[in-house]
Amino acid sequence: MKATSGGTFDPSASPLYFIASNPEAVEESQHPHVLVAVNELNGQRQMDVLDRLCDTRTVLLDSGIFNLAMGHAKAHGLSMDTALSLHPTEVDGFDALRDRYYRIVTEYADRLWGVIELDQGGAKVKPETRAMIEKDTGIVPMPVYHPLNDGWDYFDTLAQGYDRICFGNLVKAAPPTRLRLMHTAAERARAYPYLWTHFLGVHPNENWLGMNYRGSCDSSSWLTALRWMPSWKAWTMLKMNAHFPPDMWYAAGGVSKGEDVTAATARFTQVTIDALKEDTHPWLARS
Amino acid sequence: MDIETVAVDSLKPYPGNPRRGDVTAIAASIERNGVYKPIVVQRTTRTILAGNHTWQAAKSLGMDTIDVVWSDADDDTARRIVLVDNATNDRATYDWHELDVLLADLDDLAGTGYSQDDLALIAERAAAMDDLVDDEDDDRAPTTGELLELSHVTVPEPTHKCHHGQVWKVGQHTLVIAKINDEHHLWRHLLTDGVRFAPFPEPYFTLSDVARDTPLLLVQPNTYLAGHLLDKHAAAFGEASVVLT
Repeated sequence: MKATSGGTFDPSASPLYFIASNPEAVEESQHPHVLVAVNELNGQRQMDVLDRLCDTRTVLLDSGIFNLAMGHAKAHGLSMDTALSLHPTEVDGFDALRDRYYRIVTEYADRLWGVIELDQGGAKVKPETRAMIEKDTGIVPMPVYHPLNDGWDYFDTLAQGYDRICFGNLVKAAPPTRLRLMHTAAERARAYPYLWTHFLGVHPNENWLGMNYRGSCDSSSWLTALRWMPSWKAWTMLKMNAHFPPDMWYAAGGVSKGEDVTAATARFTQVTIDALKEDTHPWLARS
Repeated sequence: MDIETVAVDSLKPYPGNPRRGDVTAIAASIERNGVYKPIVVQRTTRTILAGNHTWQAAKSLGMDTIDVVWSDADDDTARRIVLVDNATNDRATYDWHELDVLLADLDDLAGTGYSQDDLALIAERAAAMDDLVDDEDDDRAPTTGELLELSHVTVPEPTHKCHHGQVWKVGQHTLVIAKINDEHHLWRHLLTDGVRFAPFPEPYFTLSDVARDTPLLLVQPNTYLAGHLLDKHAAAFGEASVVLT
C-alpha cells in the first residue's frame, strides 16, 4: 500500500471540509482547509498566493484536468461524458497542463496536504497516467474513483494500493443516489481501516459527518449564494438560515462583502465539524 | 378553443408591453421547430396578449401567417393577461438535474434556446443544487433510472422498511423516523433523563461504545439509513426491533 504524497496530511484529523475556488477567493476566507486547482495557478501572483496558503492552511491540489476537458468539449462540440472519456493526450492543452502540474507538485508536495491525480480517460487509462506521474515526479497522487463508471473491483484495487482515494460522481447524482453512494462507500471502506476517502464536490452534511469512515470533502458551493441570485441563501452550522430577498442580493462585480459572509459560514461549518468531533461523534471519540 | 391561421400583418403588438424577449432565440426556434403553439390575441382589437415576441420573430423571418387563439377578454382583463403571462413565467424555476438530463441526449442544441456555454453552467447548477439539498427533506422514492443504477452500484434497500413518524424499539434504544429541526413534537417526549440524544445516526450506530453503555434516542429522517440501522442491529445482536407506533 502506497502512501500518497502531501507533507501536511494528518491521518488523525478527520473529517475535514475543504473550500474550493480560485486561490484569491480561498485566501480571502479564514477557512483552514482549501482546495485549489493547477489551472487556476497560472501566474506569479497566484503562485505567491499558493505560497502563503501553504504557510497557513492545509492545501489540497486538484489537477485542473476537468476544467481542461470541459474546455475541449466546448471547443469541439462534444458531450461532457465523451470529453471525460478521451485519452489525456487527445485533450487540447494536456501537455501544457501536465508540465505545469509536474512543476507545482514537485516543488510543493511537502507543503501540500495532498495532490489529486490527472483524472482523465476512465479506469483503463488512469492507472497508466498515474504511473507516469509517479515515475516522472516521484509524487504519489491520490487516485480518483468514479462509482458509476469504474466498477467496485477498481475501488478495491485502489483501496488496497493507496492510503487515500478520491470519490467522484457524487455531484451529478440525485440526492437519494448520493446518500446511497456515501453509505456504500462507508460499507466498502470497512474492509480498509487505514483508508482515507475524499469526496469530490460534496458539501458537508449530517449524514456524511455521521458515517463511520475517515475522510474529507470539498465543495465550491460555499460561494453558491454569490453565483446564482435565485439561490441567495446563507448557510452555517450545516443548516440554511436565511433566504435573502432580491433587494439584498449583491450586484455582479460587487461581491466582496458577500464573499466575506459566505467564507464565514464555511468557516463555521468546519468549526461545527470540530465541535461534533470533540463532543458527540461516537466513533471519533473512541479513536 | 379554436385555432385560426391569420395574416401576420393583420395583428398588433400589445402597446406598452414591458416584456423584452429574446426575439433572435425565438426565431432560431421557429426555424428549427416551427411555431409550435398559437399566440393569444384579443378578438375585438386584434392585439396580441401572449406571444408578442413570437409574432416579432415570425415577422423577422418573413412569415405570412401565424396561428392564433382568440380571446374575448375586455381591456382590463387583457391587461391582466399580459401581466400574468409574464409574471408566472418569471416565477418559474428549474430542476437543474432534469434540465441537464433533458439536454444531454440531444445531438445538437439547435432550437433549444441553449448554447454550449449554457451546458457547463447548468451542470454546475445541478451540482450546486445537490450540495444545497438537505437529505432529511428528501425521502422521495428513487426514479427508475436511479434504481437501475442503485441495483448495480450501491448497497441495496434495507430489509426493514421504515416510514415517517414511526417509533421503533431497538434494544435499549428508541429510533424515531422524523426530522430533527421541525418535528420535535414527534420525539422530544422520549428524551428523558438518562437518555442520550443521537440525531442522524449512521447504520452502525447501535454497535458503538456509547450505545452499549447508554440508552439512545435515535432520530433519523432518512428511511434508507434508518432501515439499514435496524438491519445492522438485528445482524449484530440477533434481536428483532419492534415498531411501537
